[in-house]
Amino acid sequence: MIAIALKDLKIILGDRKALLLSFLLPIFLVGLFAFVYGSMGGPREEHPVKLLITDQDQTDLSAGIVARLDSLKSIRLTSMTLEEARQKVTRGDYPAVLVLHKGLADSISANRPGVLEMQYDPARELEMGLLQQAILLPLFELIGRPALQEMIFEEVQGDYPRLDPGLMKQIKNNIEKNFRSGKVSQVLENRNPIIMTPLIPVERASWALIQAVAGTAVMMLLFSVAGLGAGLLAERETGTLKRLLITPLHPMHILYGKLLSTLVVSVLQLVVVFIFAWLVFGLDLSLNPPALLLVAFTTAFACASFGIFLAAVSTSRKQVEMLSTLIILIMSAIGGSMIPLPIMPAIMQKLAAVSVNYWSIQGFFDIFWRELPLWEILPRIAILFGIGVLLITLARVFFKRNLASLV
Amino acid sequence: MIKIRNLSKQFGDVNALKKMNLSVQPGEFFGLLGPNGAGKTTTVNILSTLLKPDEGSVTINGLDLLSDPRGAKRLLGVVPQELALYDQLSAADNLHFWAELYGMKGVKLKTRIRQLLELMGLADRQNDRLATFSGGMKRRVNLAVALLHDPDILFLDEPTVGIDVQSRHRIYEILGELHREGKTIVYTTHYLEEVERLCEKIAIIDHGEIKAEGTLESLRQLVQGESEVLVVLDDSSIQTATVEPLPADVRLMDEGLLATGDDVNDLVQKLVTICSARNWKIRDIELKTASLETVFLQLTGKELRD
Ligand SMILES: Nc1ncnc2c1ncn2[C@@H]1O[C@H](COP(=O)(O)OP(=O)(O)OP(=O)(O)O)[C@@H](O)[C@H]1O
Ligand SMILES: [Mg+2]
Repeated sequence: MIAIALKDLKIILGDRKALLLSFLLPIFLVGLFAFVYGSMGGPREEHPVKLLITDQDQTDLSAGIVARLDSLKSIRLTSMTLEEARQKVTRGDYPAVLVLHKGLADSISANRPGVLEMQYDPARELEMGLLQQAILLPLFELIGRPALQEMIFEEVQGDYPRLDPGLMKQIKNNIEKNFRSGKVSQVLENRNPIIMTPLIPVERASWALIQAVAGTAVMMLLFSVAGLGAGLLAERETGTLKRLLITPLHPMHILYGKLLSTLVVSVLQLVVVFIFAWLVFGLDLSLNPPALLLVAFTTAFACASFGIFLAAVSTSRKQVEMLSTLIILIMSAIGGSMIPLPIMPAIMQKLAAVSVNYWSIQGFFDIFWRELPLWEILPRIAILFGIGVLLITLARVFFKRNLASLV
Repeated sequence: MIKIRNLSKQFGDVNALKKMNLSVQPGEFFGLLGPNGAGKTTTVNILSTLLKPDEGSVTINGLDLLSDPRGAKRLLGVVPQELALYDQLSAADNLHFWAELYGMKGVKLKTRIRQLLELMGLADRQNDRLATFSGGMKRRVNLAVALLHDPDILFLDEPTVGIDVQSRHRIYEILGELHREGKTIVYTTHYLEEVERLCEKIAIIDHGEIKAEGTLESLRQLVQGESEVLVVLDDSSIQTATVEPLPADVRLMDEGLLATGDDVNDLVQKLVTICSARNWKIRDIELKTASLETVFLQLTGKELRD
């Protein structure tokens, strides 16, 4: 069994080109995904959102709104006609256009709705959320304030209809003065009922980096073990498997030997990826070394078993290739390797639990993001280990059954 | 001593072996001669414990192959029909790997590998990857692997297919040497020269059945004193001959018609009559003494070719 593993490793290590590929490709992908997820706006990233604006009202008020929004740091405002703007949004150049319709100033003083319209691209809801958050308060200040002013004044007038007109005028001036001084916006801001407190300290590893490292590493691992597992089928095609069966070696040891060599390569691959993440992106590997070792090892074990399982159920290399590509793509898609889990629909997040990717990625998030202690991560480690054992057991059954047709 | 009794094996609706009986004496060089698909590899696979027969029994030196396959495995060296080797490894590494699987190690393993590499004439290339070897050199490594644990019994399944003359003769020499050492050798082939040159005892197999068995001499005696007459025909005549019914004792060959018998005059007359009656053009007439090839042809109805 050890002899088989050593022989495999010698063959694998002898193939420089394939080796380079299986170690460089994951590194390249981790870098790429870290960049992509990073610019997608993980929790910490701040990028101005682009917004178009069309002023059809052309009043002092509308000009004020444009000027106010333009002064916001979180928004990069561009003014143009509605026609042009709509084209740009449909073409995907901008997420939305804010339309200040004709009669905006009038309808605001008359307290009528439907004067501000956001025309947007529904595919870009993420940016829309950020946009709304950014423009709500400034807009309220500009549009809501006069309306509020008016409302208060009318209230006073209604309550004290016989008040001296001179006094009334003074009250009105007072209200306007108070509002203008910025007190209201201050009050509004202070009264914001929601206090935002980030629970994960901001200085921790970036969410994007962990997602990139964990997600990509597992997916690449699955692809490379499927390739290694296919080595079993290659042995069948060259006849060396037949010859192995003639030796006094127990047939199952052929399977275990393959598992061992695949496991060693998988562990090496993970080590390389994590060292890369540490050196280049500063991922802190010293957070929880025992947990990291265990999660990495059980991930490698589950993946290696998956490769052996594929090889044992298939009867030709073509079959392995097709089957593995299909299963890996599905597992990676639902398991969170390609699409970060938090932005997937709830039902998909439940489904994700059937994939190796899910448990492994969650394990890495437990370590680097949630910073859980080892005993809280143990269940995930146990599940990864269990997946490995299950796959090996199934592989044994299929291998035994296929033995007869190997010659 | 190898004893095969009533061995049968079926693949789907193909009867690969039909109640085959055979015995090979210790130290014997035994040739299993048969055309493609005759059942040679199936026999070797069963003898090397890879396949379970549907019926029948095999004993090797008294050991029942079916009930104690692992015990039998140590007695056997098998040279498979394919080149079952790792192309990416060197010759020495290949031998090293297979030797370990037979539990060899240390000095004993190293000495044995050096011995075999020298025997095969590959000592100077031992550290080159097999991918750079010629077909003949790979065949020799393929043979060396089977000899690593110095087995008493050797099964060779067409070990010289598709190689150069030089390598082929080298292998013949090595096998002759092994035979002199007293090893029991079962050699399958569809080359007649090989069995004539190497084997003491021959069985002709076709469609999973042993058609004849004996020493080279006893098989030749089956056609003792007989002659072969071949009338060579032109191509278009051969074309029409393929669809025409022929008398049972006349055979259609690639080049023309063939008949075997004691009286050459009779044979020639018979063949010429057939051709004249059908308007077939005779190009040439060849006369030969009947040989093992004749026996093979009569038993299997097939010509021996590469
Ligand atoms: N695994 C298998 N499945 C189905 N049919 C098989 C299998 N192995 C052999 N056969 C069939 O059994 C018959 C005997 O095959 P076998 O390989 O023993 O012939 P052979 O004498 O070794 O021929 P060759 O000279 O081509 O190697 C053939 O008809 C072959 O098609
Ligand atoms: Mg064969």
